[in-house]
Amino acid sequence: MKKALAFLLVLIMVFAMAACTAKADPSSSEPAAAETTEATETPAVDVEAENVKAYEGVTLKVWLAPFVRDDVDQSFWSNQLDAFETETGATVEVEIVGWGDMATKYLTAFMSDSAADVLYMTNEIAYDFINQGCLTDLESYWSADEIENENYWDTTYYRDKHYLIPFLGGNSQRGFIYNMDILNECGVDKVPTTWDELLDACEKIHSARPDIYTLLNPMTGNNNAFLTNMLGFLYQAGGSMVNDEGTAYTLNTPEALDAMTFIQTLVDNGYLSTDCLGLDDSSIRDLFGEGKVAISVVDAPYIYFEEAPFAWQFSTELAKSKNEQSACFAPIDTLAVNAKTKNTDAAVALLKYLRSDEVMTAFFTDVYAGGQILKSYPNMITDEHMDDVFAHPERAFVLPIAPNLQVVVDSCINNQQLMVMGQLTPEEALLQIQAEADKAFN
Amino acid sequence: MKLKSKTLKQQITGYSFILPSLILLSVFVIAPILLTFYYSMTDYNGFQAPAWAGFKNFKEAFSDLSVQAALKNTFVFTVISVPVEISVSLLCAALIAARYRNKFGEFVRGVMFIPVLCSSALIGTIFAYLFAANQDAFFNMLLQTFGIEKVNWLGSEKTALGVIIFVNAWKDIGYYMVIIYAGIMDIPNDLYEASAIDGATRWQQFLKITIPNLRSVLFMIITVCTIWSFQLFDLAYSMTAGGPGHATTSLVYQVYLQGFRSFKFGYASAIAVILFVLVLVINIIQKLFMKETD
Repeated sequence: MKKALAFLLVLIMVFAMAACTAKADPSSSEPAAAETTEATETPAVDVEAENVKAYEGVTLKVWLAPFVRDDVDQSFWSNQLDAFETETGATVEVEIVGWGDMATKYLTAFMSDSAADVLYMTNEIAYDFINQGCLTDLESYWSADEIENENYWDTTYYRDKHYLIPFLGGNSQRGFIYNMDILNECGVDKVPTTWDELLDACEKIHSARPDIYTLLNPMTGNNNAFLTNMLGFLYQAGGSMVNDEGTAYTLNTPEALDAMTFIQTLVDNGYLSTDCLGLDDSSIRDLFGEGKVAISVVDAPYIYFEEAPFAWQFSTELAKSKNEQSACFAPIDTLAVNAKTKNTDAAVALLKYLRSDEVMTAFFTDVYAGGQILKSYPNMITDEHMDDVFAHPERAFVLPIAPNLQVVVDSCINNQQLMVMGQLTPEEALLQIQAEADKAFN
Repeated sequence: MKLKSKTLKQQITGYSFILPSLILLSVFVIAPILLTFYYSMTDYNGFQAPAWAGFKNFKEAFSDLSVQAALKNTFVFTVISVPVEISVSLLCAALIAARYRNKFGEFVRGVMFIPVLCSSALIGTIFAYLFAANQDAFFNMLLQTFGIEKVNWLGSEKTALGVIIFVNAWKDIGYYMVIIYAGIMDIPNDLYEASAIDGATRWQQFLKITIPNLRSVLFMIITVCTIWSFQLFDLAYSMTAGGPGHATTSLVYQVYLQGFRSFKFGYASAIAVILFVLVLVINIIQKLFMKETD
């Protein structure tokens, strides 16, 4: 018995040692990190030229955001990256980072030099990482032809540098969605295009159908409360969040006051129900889908209301007045490259591969249908309700890249809520928002 | 001399037994607390080395409207939560111990413990649906069956914190109840029998036997409940995100916002230190009160 046990232990030890040796073998398909680093710094020269792949032995880490479920996204990207690995010889490790954890995870990772080589970024968190030198300016890696193929290239410049490369978006404009059956029933035959027309439509609906919500926009604690209300109306009023130089927030301006006063008018007249303070985004969408809301603001409505039992229309065409430009918020999420990556060329190659036509076509088909970040992408969204979005990209405004943006957004949400509850006037709300925003730049 | 060396040997043995725990405790508890105190006096932002800022963060915290609101909400939450949760748990435990020392009692205890095992974020999300403002939401439908108008539970500053207190109580009562029940089981039955012979009613037995014999258990759970109440975060985060306005923000929520959303770790540490001092002072007062009543 003892002999058998001893034999078994020796056998296990031999297998373990063999496994360790195999891992240290440079020809192994999964090289250990230490070897990878060495290979990255010193390209292999003793391999036959025809077998040398561009990034043989390089290990790259990429962090992406979840769109369906972590495991679905993870499996999609892992499968897609097989071709990149085969072609370049690099090994790519994909990790899906939850939206809520993103800022914290990135911060701690950059602090400990363990951040991924390629990272998913949103404007809400980008500034600090750019400002602290964590990201690489990628402008020089793009040729004129490649830039020509970009649809949203200009939206992600920061002080003449390009740390962020547009990756997803272009189809999530926060536009107004109208239940046309209700609008027609109340004598509104076309969607409002100005604030006055919106007020007029709301008045008719409010009088004719007091049993339903006239207008219901998300106003609870998440960012949509800001993006679908204050920010949209601010852009329509001709305002912006920061000045042209990008050196100060401009949230206590006549344009911002117009926007906040308009929201308050909607509330005071009973058109915009204060129930929106206690209903989250999905509850509002459900209520709209059930025909209990006449007007709301949503993103990419074809996802939610494909089979709605009523006629509906989605429009980004709302302006303060006939003479002013219609506008809405549009998110453009981006990819960035870690400034401390050991092989920037490989990281850029990976970034370009991730947003290549074939990978993104598969992504749009299997995971989440997005807009045309590149002109060469096929248009996957053929829903007629989205025509307005793709026909008028000039109406789409993105969030600026500015310090402590998330804190300023939080302040806008809080003060907008206090205003809607009647505790602050629009002027007082803007004063408090600007005070918080000034701290961010100081 | 021999005795002295024996004592020294004993001491070394004793210290070597506690050394592993002491090391772990120092690394994972004491050092972070000391670091938090240090960071609270700096302008640490996570990226650059912290620079000394003295009491600037504390001055800013006490004049910050969000922190003031958080301080008030945390106090209100604790002052209501602790007595409600402890008294309901005590009553449930006493009732089960007195009437249902059977399979049904076991079942009830099991069911009441289920929420304790669930994630607070999940519970918060589910209750946010149940307490939604529309008339089809569960609690509004319940009100309407009694002819009462629907309420904007989470969208009104008058009710939002109350809803969170309710959900928190629903989640935690099972935990306290199980501990109190175990405490009641430890009380010798002779005391109840003797008092019954002397003509004591059930209520008198509860007041004169059960409560006094549960003193140490009650002190422990009051302490735990107070500390946990001061740490209100996950329900406020998942149900209201601290709103509407500042109606449900808490000190821990402010620590999260300042630290992990704006990367002001120095400022967040100052708020954490304020919370630490508050909990410590309240705990000392509770201990003194217990000693006094002993």
